[in-house]
Amino acid sequence: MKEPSDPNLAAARRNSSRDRRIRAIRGATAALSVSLVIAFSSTVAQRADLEGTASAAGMPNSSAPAAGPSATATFIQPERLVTSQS
Amino acid sequence: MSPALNSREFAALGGKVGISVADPASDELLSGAQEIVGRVHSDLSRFDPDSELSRLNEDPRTEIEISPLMSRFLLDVIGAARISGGLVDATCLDSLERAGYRASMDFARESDAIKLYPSSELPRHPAAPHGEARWAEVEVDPDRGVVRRAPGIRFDSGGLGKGLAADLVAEFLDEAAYFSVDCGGDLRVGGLTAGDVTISVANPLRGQDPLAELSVPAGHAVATSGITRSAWIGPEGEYSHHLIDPGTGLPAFTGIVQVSAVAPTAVEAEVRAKAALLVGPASAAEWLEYGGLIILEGGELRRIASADSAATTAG
Repeated sequence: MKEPSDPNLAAARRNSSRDRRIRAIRGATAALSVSLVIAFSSTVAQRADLEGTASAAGMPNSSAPAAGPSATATFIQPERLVTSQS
Repeated sequence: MSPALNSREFAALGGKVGISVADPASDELLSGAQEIVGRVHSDLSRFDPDSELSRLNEDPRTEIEISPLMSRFLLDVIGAARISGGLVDATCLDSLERAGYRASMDFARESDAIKLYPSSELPRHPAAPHGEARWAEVEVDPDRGVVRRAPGIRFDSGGLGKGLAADLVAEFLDEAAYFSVDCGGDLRVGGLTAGDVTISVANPLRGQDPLAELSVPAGHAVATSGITRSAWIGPEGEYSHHLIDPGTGLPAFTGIVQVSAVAPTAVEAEVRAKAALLVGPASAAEWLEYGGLIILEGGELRRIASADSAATTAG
Protein backbone atom coordinates (compact mmCIF):
# COMPACT_ATOMS: atom_id res chain seq x y z
CA MET A 1 0.00 0.00 0.00
CA LYS A 2 1.35 3.45 -0.95
CA GLU A 3 2.23 5.65 2.00
CA PRO A 4 0.11 8.85 2.07
CA SER A 5 2.12 11.99 1.42
CA ASP A 6 0.29 13.84 4.21
CA PRO A 7 2.37 13.11 7.35
CA ASN A 8 -0.72 13.27 9.55
CA LEU A 9 -2.47 10.68 7.43
CA ALA A 10 0.67 8.53 7.37
CA ALA A 11 0.97 8.71 11.14
CA ALA A 12 -2.70 7.84 11.55
CA ARG A 13 -2.26 4.83 9.31
CA ARG A 14 0.82 3.68 11.22
CA ASN A 15 -1.04 4.08 14.51
CA SER A 16 -4.04 2.22 13.16
CA SER A 17 -1.81 -0.60 11.95
CA ARG A 18 0.01 -0.72 15.28
CA ASP A 19 -3.32 -0.84 17.12
CA ARG A 20 -4.41 -3.76 14.98
CA ARG A 21 -1.25 -5.65 15.89
CA ILE A 22 -1.69 -4.94 19.57
CA ARG A 23 -5.30 -6.08 19.34
CA ALA A 24 -4.06 -9.24 17.62
CA ILE A 25 -1.68 -9.93 20.49
CA ARG A 26 -4.45 -9.30 22.98
CA GLY A 27 -6.79 -11.43 20.90
CA ALA A 28 -4.47 -14.39 21.37
CA THR A 29 -4.97 -14.13 25.07
CA ALA A 30 -8.65 -13.23 24.96
CA ALA A 31 -9.53 -16.89 25.23
CA LEU A 32 -8.09 -16.79 28.71
CA SER A 33 -9.30 -14.84 31.68
CA VAL A 34 -9.19 -11.10 32.15
CA SER A 35 -6.62 -11.52 34.91
CA LEU A 36 -4.33 -13.31 32.51
CA VAL A 37 -4.63 -10.48 29.99
CA ILE A 38 -3.70 -8.04 32.73
CA ALA A 39 -0.70 -10.19 33.54
CA PHE A 40 0.43 -9.84 29.94
CA SER A 41 0.03 -6.10 29.86
CA SER A 42 3.73 -5.46 30.36
CA THR A 43 4.57 -7.78 27.47
CA VAL A 44 2.00 -6.10 25.24
CA ALA A 45 3.38 -2.71 26.18
CA GLN A 46 6.89 -3.82 25.31
CA ARG A 47 5.74 -5.20 21.97
CA ALA A 48 3.99 -1.90 21.29
CA ASP A 49 7.23 -0.08 22.03
CA LEU A 50 9.06 -2.32 19.56
CA GLU A 51 6.40 -1.71 16.94
CA GLY A 52 6.66 1.99 17.55
CA THR A 53 10.40 1.70 16.96
CA ALA A 54 9.76 -0.18 13.73
CA SER A 55 7.29 2.45 12.54
CA ALA A 56 9.66 5.23 13.43
CA ALA A 57 12.31 3.44 11.40
CA GLY A 58 10.14 3.95 8.33
CA MET A 59 8.44 0.60 7.97
CA PRO A 60 5.31 1.55 6.05
CA ASN A 61 2.99 -1.26 7.12
CA SER A 62 3.63 -3.10 10.36
CA SER A 63 1.27 -5.93 9.39
CA ALA A 64 3.68 -6.95 6.64
CA PRO A 65 6.13 -9.78 7.41
CA ALA A 66 9.17 -7.48 7.53
CA ALA A 67 8.01 -5.88 10.77
CA GLY A 68 10.77 -6.58 13.27
CA PRO A 69 14.43 -5.91 13.72
CA SER A 70 15.17 -9.55 12.96
CA ALA A 71 13.06 -9.98 9.87
CA THR A 72 15.86 -10.08 7.37
CA ALA A 73 16.04 -13.76 6.43
CA THR A 74 14.45 -17.12 7.05
CA PHE A 75 15.38 -18.35 10.50
CA ILE A 76 17.34 -21.57 10.10
CA GLN A 77 15.97 -24.27 12.41
CA PRO A 78 18.02 -23.62 15.54
CA GLU A 79 17.07 -26.64 17.65
CA ARG A 80 16.30 -30.35 17.51
CA LEU A 81 12.59 -31.07 17.84
CA VAL A 82 11.03 -34.44 18.65
CA THR A 83 7.37 -35.43 18.63
CA SER A 84 6.34 -38.27 20.90
CA GLN A 85 3.10 -39.80 22.11
CA SER A 86 1.14 -37.16 24.00
CA MET B 1 21.35 -10.31 12.69
CA SER B 2 18.69 -12.64 14.12
CA PRO B 3 17.97 -12.46 17.85
CA ALA B 4 19.33 -15.31 19.96
CA LEU B 5 17.14 -18.27 20.80
CA ASN B 6 15.87 -18.24 24.39
CA SER B 7 14.38 -21.47 25.76
CA ARG B 8 12.49 -22.59 28.82
CA GLU B 9 11.46 -26.07 30.00
CA PHE B 10 9.07 -26.93 32.83
CA ALA B 11 6.71 -29.65 34.05
CA ALA B 12 3.04 -29.22 33.13
CA LEU B 13 0.12 -31.00 31.46
CA GLY B 14 1.25 -34.34 32.86
CA GLY B 15 4.66 -34.17 31.24
CA LYS B 16 7.34 -31.81 30.03
CA VAL B 17 6.74 -28.54 28.20
CA GLY B 18 9.46 -26.78 26.21
CA ILE B 19 9.18 -23.34 24.63
CA SER B 20 11.80 -21.52 22.57
CA VAL B 21 11.59 -17.95 21.27
CA ALA B 22 13.87 -15.74 19.19
CA ASP B 23 12.72 -12.18 19.76
CA PRO B 24 14.11 -9.04 21.41
CA ALA B 25 11.39 -9.44 24.10
CA SER B 26 11.94 -13.19 24.53
CA ASP B 27 12.11 -13.16 28.35
CA GLU B 28 8.70 -11.52 28.65
CA LEU B 29 7.22 -13.66 25.90
CA LEU B 30 8.48 -16.87 27.54
CA SER B 31 6.96 -15.80 30.86
CA GLY B 32 3.63 -15.04 29.17
CA ALA B 33 3.72 -18.36 27.31
CA GLN B 34 4.49 -20.27 30.50
CA GLU B 35 1.58 -18.53 32.19
CA ILE B 36 -0.76 -19.63 29.38
CA VAL B 37 0.36 -23.25 29.76
CA GLY B 38 0.02 -22.98 33.54
CA ARG B 39 -3.53 -21.71 33.18
CA VAL B 40 -4.48 -24.55 30.81
CA HIS B 41 -2.89 -27.03 33.23
CA SER B 42 -4.68 -25.72 36.32
CA ASP B 43 -8.10 -25.14 34.71
CA LEU B 44 -8.33 -28.26 32.54
CA SER B 45 -6.84 -30.89 34.85
CA ARG B 46 -9.23 -33.72 35.68
CA PHE B 47 -6.96 -34.85 38.50
CA ASP B 48 -7.37 -31.66 40.53
CA PRO B 49 -10.81 -31.65 42.17
CA ASP B 50 -10.74 -27.86 42.33
CA SER B 51 -10.02 -27.30 38.64
CA GLU B 52 -12.74 -25.77 36.47
CA LEU B 53 -12.93 -29.02 34.48
CA SER B 54 -13.43 -31.15 37.61
CA ARG B 55 -16.10 -28.77 38.91
CA LEU B 56 -17.86 -28.81 35.54
CA ASN B 57 -17.73 -32.62 35.38
CA GLU B 58 -19.35 -32.89 38.82
CA ASP B 59 -21.90 -30.10 38.36
CA PRO B 60 -25.48 -31.46 38.49
CA ARG B 61 -26.94 -28.48 36.63
CA THR B 62 -27.73 -28.58 32.90
CA GLU B 63 -26.57 -25.02 32.16
CA ILE B 64 -23.30 -23.83 33.66
CA GLU B 65 -21.29 -20.64 33.42
CA ILE B 66 -17.80 -21.27 32.06
CA SER B 67 -14.61 -19.30 31.44
CA PRO B 68 -13.44 -18.25 27.95
CA LEU B 69 -10.74 -20.93 28.16
CA MET B 70 -13.32 -23.63 28.93
CA SER B 71 -15.49 -22.32 26.08
CA ARG B 72 -12.65 -22.75 23.65
CA PHE B 73 -11.77 -26.20 24.98
CA LEU B 74 -15.37 -27.41 24.73
CA LEU B 75 -15.70 -25.99 21.21
CA ASP B 76 -12.57 -27.98 20.34
CA VAL B 77 -14.13 -31.08 21.93
CA ILE B 78 -17.25 -30.68 19.80
CA GLY B 79 -15.21 -29.89 16.68
CA ALA B 80 -12.95 -32.91 17.21
CA ALA B 81 -15.91 -35.26 17.50
CA ARG B 82 -17.70 -33.68 14.56
CA ILE B 83 -14.83 -33.86 12.07
CA SER B 84 -13.84 -37.37 13.19
CA GLY B 85 -17.38 -38.70 12.97
CA GLY B 86 -17.43 -39.30 16.73
CA LEU B 87 -14.16 -41.26 16.88
CA VAL B 88 -12.25 -38.60 18.83
CA ASP B 89 -14.75 -38.34 21.66
CA ALA B 90 -13.66 -36.57 24.85
CA THR B 91 -16.91 -37.55 26.57
CA CYS B 92 -15.65 -41.14 27.02
CA LEU B 93 -14.18 -40.34 30.44
CA ASP B 94 -16.26 -43.03 32.20
CA SER B 95 -14.75 -45.70 29.92
CA LEU B 96 -11.24 -44.34 30.44
CA GLU B 97 -11.67 -44.51 34.20
CA ARG B 98 -13.11 -48.04 34.02
CA ALA B 99 -9.97 -49.02 32.08
CA GLY B 100 -7.96 -47.88 35.10
CA TYR B 101 -6.93 -44.28 34.32
CA ARG B 102 -8.53 -42.59 37.34
CA ALA B 103 -5.59 -40.65 38.72
CA SER B 104 -2.41 -39.05 37.45
CA MET B 105 0.03 -41.83 36.55
CA ASP B 106 3.78 -42.12 36.25
CA PHE B 107 3.80 -44.08 33.02
CA ALA B 108 7.54 -44.72 33.28
CA ARG B 109 6.75 -46.90 36.30
CA GLU B 110 4.20 -48.79 34.21
CA SER B 111 6.80 -49.75 31.62
CA ASP B 112 6.42 -53.46 32.46
CA ALA B 113 2.88 -53.27 31.06
CA ILE B 114 4.29 -53.57 27.53
CA LYS B 115 5.15 -57.23 28.27
CA LEU B 116 1.39 -57.84 28.37
CA TYR B 117 0.74 -56.28 24.94
CA PRO B 118 -1.89 -58.54 23.38
CA SER B 119 -0.70 -61.17 20.93
CA SER B 120 -1.01 -60.18 17.29
CA GLU B 121 -3.01 -63.37 16.81
CA LEU B 122 -5.90 -61.76 18.66
CA PRO B 123 -8.41 -59.86 16.47
CA ARG B 124 -7.84 -56.21 15.64
CA HIS B 125 -10.62 -54.02 14.37
CA PRO B 126 -11.31 -50.36 13.59
CA ALA B 127 -12.85 -48.31 16.36
CA ALA B 128 -16.41 -47.01 16.06
CA PRO B 129 -18.26 -43.97 17.43
CA HIS B 130 -20.36 -44.21 20.58
CA GLY B 131 -23.93 -45.18 19.76
CA GLU B 132 -25.42 -42.26 21.68
CA ALA B 133 -23.06 -39.54 20.35
CA ARG B 134 -23.25 -37.72 23.69
CA TRP B 135 -20.86 -35.06 22.41
CA ALA B 136 -23.64 -33.88 20.04
CA GLU B 137 -25.75 -32.93 23.08
CA VAL B 138 -23.16 -30.41 24.27
CA GLU B 139 -23.94 -26.78 23.38
CA VAL B 140 -21.50 -23.96 24.03
CA ASP B 141 -22.43 -20.28 23.88
CA PRO B 142 -19.07 -18.49 24.05
CA ASP B 143 -20.69 -15.05 23.97
CA ARG B 144 -22.72 -15.77 27.11
CA GLY B 145 -20.00 -17.98 28.61
CA VAL B 146 -22.36 -20.88 29.10
CA VAL B 147 -22.38 -24.61 28.34
CA ARG B 148 -25.51 -26.73 28.22
CA ARG B 149 -25.12 -30.47 28.56
CA ALA B 150 -26.99 -33.33 30.19
CA PRO B 151 -25.73 -33.85 33.74
CA GLY B 152 -23.43 -36.84 33.82
CA ILE B 153 -21.63 -36.00 30.57
CA ARG B 154 -18.03 -35.55 31.66
CA PHE B 155 -15.00 -34.45 29.66
CA ASP B 156 -11.40 -35.64 29.47
CA SER B 157 -8.91 -32.91 28.55
CA GLY B 158 -6.15 -35.38 27.53
CA GLY B 159 -4.42 -34.75 24.22
CA LEU B 160 -6.85 -32.02 23.17
CA GLY B 161 -5.78 -29.99 26.20
CA LYS B 162 -2.12 -30.31 25.22
CA GLY B 163 -2.93 -29.33 21.65
CA LEU B 164 -4.97 -26.36 22.84
CA ALA B 165 -2.10 -25.21 25.07
CA ALA B 166 0.30 -25.38 22.11
CA ASP B 167 -2.12 -23.42 19.92
CA LEU B 168 -2.70 -20.70 22.52
CA VAL B 169 1.05 -20.29 22.99
CA ALA B 170 1.53 -20.18 19.21
CA GLU B 171 -1.11 -17.44 18.89
CA PHE B 172 0.66 -15.49 21.61
CA LEU B 173 4.11 -15.85 20.01
CA ASP B 174 3.22 -15.61 16.34
CA GLU B 175 4.93 -12.25 15.86
CA ALA B 176 8.28 -13.40 17.23
CA ALA B 177 11.02 -14.00 14.66
CA TYR B 178 10.90 -17.72 15.51
CA PHE B 179 9.22 -19.86 18.14
CA SER B 180 8.60 -23.48 18.97
CA VAL B 181 6.35 -24.96 21.63
CA ASP B 182 6.39 -28.60 22.71
CA CYS B 183 3.51 -29.61 25.00
CA GLY B 184 4.36 -33.18 25.91
CA GLY B 185 5.03 -34.21 22.32
CA ASP B 186 2.52 -31.91 20.56
CA LEU B 187 4.66 -29.36 18.73
CA ARG B 188 3.99 -26.16 16.91
CA VAL B 189 6.63 -24.05 15.18
CA GLY B 190 6.30 -20.62 13.61
CA GLY B 191 7.19 -16.96 13.71
CA LEU B 192 7.67 -14.17 11.18
CA THR B 193 10.87 -15.59 9.74
CA ALA B 194 10.48 -19.31 10.45
CA GLY B 195 11.05 -21.70 7.57
CA ASP B 196 10.02 -25.32 7.21
CA VAL B 197 11.40 -27.49 10.01
CA THR B 198 12.40 -31.12 10.38
CA ILE B 199 10.87 -32.88 13.36
CA SER B 200 12.01 -36.30 14.58
CA VAL B 201 9.41 -38.91 15.48
CA ALA B 202 10.18 -40.77 18.69
CA ASN B 203 10.32 -44.55 18.71
CA PRO B 204 7.06 -45.82 20.24
CA LEU B 205 9.00 -48.17 22.51
CA ARG B 206 12.24 -46.40 23.38
CA GLY B 207 12.35 -42.99 25.00
CA GLN B 208 13.07 -40.11 22.69
CA ASP B 209 15.10 -42.18 20.22
CA PRO B 210 14.24 -40.85 16.76
CA LEU B 211 12.73 -43.37 14.37
CA ALA B 212 12.07 -41.14 11.37
CA GLU B 213 11.78 -37.49 10.42
CA LEU B 214 8.89 -35.36 9.21
CA SER B 215 9.10 -32.11 7.29
CA VAL B 216 6.68 -29.61 8.80
CA PRO B 217 5.77 -26.33 7.04
CA ALA B 218 6.35 -23.12 8.96
CA GLY B 219 3.44 -22.22 11.19
CA HIS B 220 2.19 -25.78 11.34
CA ALA B 221 1.96 -28.37 14.10
CA VAL B 222 2.67 -32.05 14.56
CA ALA B 223 1.08 -34.34 17.12
CA THR B 224 1.68 -37.98 17.91
CA SER B 225 -0.84 -40.39 19.31
CA GLY B 226 -0.14 -43.95 20.33
CA ILE B 227 -0.91 -46.86 22.62
CA THR B 228 2.51 -47.75 24.02
CA ARG B 229 3.44 -44.81 26.27
CA SER B 230 0.31 -43.91 28.26
CA ALA B 231 -0.21 -47.57 29.10
CA TRP B 232 -0.66 -49.53 32.30
CA ILE B 233 -1.74 -52.89 33.71
CA GLY B 234 -5.54 -52.82 33.82
CA PRO B 235 -8.03 -53.94 36.50
CA GLU B 236 -8.00 -57.55 35.21
CA GLY B 237 -4.22 -57.66 34.86
CA GLU B 238 -4.46 -56.91 31.15
CA TYR B 239 -2.55 -54.42 28.97
CA SER B 240 -4.46 -51.16 28.99
CA HIS B 241 -3.96 -47.73 27.43
CA HIS B 242 -5.59 -44.32 27.07
CA LEU B 243 -7.03 -44.43 23.54
CA ILE B 244 -10.59 -45.60 24.03
CA ASP B 245 -12.70 -47.08 21.24
CA PRO B 246 -15.91 -45.08 21.81
CA GLY B 247 -17.99 -47.92 20.33
CA THR B 248 -16.84 -50.57 22.82
CA GLY B 249 -15.70 -48.35 25.69
CA LEU B 250 -12.46 -50.36 25.80
CA PRO B 251 -8.87 -49.50 24.84
CA ALA B 252 -8.60 -49.69 21.04
CA PHE B 253 -6.43 -52.24 19.25
CA THR B 254 -6.59 -51.55 15.54
CA GLY B 255 -3.21 -52.84 14.36
CA ILE B 256 -1.53 -49.41 14.62
CA VAL B 257 0.70 -48.51 17.58
CA GLN B 258 1.50 -44.88 16.76
CA VAL B 259 0.55 -42.10 14.33
CA SER B 260 2.16 -38.69 13.88
CA ALA B 261 0.08 -36.11 12.01
CA VAL B 262 0.93 -32.69 10.58
CA ALA B 263 -1.78 -30.02 10.50
CA PRO B 264 -2.19 -26.23 10.63
CA THR B 265 -2.97 -26.34 14.37
CA ALA B 266 -1.96 -28.64 17.21
CA VAL B 267 -5.59 -29.46 18.05
CA GLU B 268 -6.24 -30.50 14.45
CA ALA B 269 -3.01 -32.53 14.41
CA GLU B 270 -4.17 -34.28 17.61
CA VAL B 271 -7.53 -35.11 16.06
CA ARG B 272 -5.99 -36.36 12.82
CA ALA B 273 -3.43 -38.54 14.63
CA LYS B 274 -6.04 -40.07 16.95
CA ALA B 275 -8.59 -40.63 14.18
CA ALA B 276 -5.95 -42.26 11.95
CA LEU B 277 -4.95 -44.66 14.72
CA LEU B 278 -8.55 -45.47 15.61
CA VAL B 279 -9.70 -46.29 12.06
CA GLY B 280 -6.85 -48.76 11.61
CA PRO B 281 -4.32 -49.49 8.86
CA ALA B 282 -6.75 -49.74 5.94
CA SER B 283 -7.86 -46.11 6.00
CA ALA B 284 -5.48 -44.31 8.39
CA ALA B 285 -3.71 -42.49 5.55
CA GLU B 286 -6.96 -40.71 4.62
CA TRP B 287 -6.66 -38.71 7.85
CA LEU B 288 -3.15 -37.48 7.07
CA GLU B 289 -3.95 -34.80 4.51
CA TYR B 290 -0.95 -32.70 5.59
CA GLY B 291 1.40 -35.67 5.90
CA GLY B 292 2.42 -37.95 8.69
CA LEU B 293 3.85 -41.25 9.78
CA ILE B 294 2.02 -44.46 10.69
CA ILE B 295 3.72 -47.26 12.67
CA LEU B 296 2.00 -50.62 12.58
CA GLU B 297 2.25 -53.45 15.06
CA GLY B 298 5.28 -55.41 13.91
CA GLY B 299 7.20 -52.24 13.16
CA GLU B 300 6.21 -51.39 9.58
CA LEU B 301 6.52 -47.64 8.89
CA ARG B 302 4.19 -45.92 6.44
CA ARG B 303 5.23 -42.42 5.51
CA ILE B 304 2.33 -40.35 4.16
CA ALA B 305 3.10 -37.31 1.99
CA SER B 306 0.89 -34.24 2.25
CA ALA B 307 -1.82 -34.00 -0.37
CA ASP B 308 -0.12 -30.85 -1.70
CA SER B 309 3.27 -32.45 -2.21
CA ALA B 310 1.69 -35.61 -3.62
CA ALA B 311 -0.19 -33.47 -6.15
CA THR B 312 3.02 -31.60 -7.01
CA THR B 313 4.89 -34.87 -7.49
CA ALA B 314 2.10 -36.29 -9.61
CA GLY B 315 1.98 -33.12 -11.69
